[in-house]
Amino acid sequence: MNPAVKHALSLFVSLYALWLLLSGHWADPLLLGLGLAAAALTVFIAWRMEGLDHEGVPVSVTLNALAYWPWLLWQIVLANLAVARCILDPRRIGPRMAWVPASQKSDLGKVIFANSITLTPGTISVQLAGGHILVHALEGAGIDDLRGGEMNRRCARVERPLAGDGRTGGEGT
Amino acid sequence: MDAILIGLSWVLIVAGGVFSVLSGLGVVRFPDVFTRMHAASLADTLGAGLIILGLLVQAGIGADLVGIKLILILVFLLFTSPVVTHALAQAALRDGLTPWTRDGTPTEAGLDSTVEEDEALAPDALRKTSGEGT
Repeated sequence: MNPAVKHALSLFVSLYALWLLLSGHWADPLLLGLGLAAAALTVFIAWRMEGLDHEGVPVSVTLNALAYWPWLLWQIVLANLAVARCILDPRRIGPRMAWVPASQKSDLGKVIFANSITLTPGTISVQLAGGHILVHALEGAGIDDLRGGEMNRRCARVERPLAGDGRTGGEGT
Repeated sequence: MDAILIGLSWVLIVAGGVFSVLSGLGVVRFPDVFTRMHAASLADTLGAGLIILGLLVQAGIGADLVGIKLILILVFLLFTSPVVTHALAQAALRDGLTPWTRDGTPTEAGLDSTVEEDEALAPDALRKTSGEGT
């Protein structure tokens, strides 16, 4: 299928699903029709703004992310506890700023990695350039963990096309 | 059954409140803007997350889909708050703030903590961007 059509269709379907979930009016044909029109108009505007690409509508990334989020949420909980301990005893902190390698190939993958770093309390991504991310960490161990590379690898896995897409030649990003 | 659910939701909401208070305490206690941002992100993640989870236990999905809206609030919060934190941290660095360290010596990547200096320590690919005026 033409990638543009695929992106438009998946954006339309997810927008309409969002509209249905938010409105809760599932019986009135007039409202359902208006919802369809609103979703279609949004897709049209996105197309006019040239936002209908693999970055604006990251289909395969969305599905991969579903496997990544539970792990990320658990990391966030652990990091919250670590930072809470630092707040109760500020003598523990030893802030450090250093570059951490980011091996993701696409911009979107790097953004996912940088945002994951920032979302985890105790580490903030300050700058992103040339395959490296400048990270400020509340405890020096935060930098060492990131250099260990587990989050980096998992984010690289998120940006990979789905197995099915890969066999048919990929999306041609 | 109801009592258990309400008890569970109270536990979650109170735990979320505790994290939010800790977050505020950290903002007061920590020494500089970067470390304070770390403290603030506590309220963004577990603080807000536990409170919304607690509300979710009480509301359920509900006939008026309140639960869905609560989940969406959390999802949007988790997507937008790191962007804001990143923008704030970069603005602070570009403005020339020196990250606080325990012994007062600069951290390895922030000699003078200006962005240009950071880039001088980073791989060559960075040099390109240092030319743009700020």
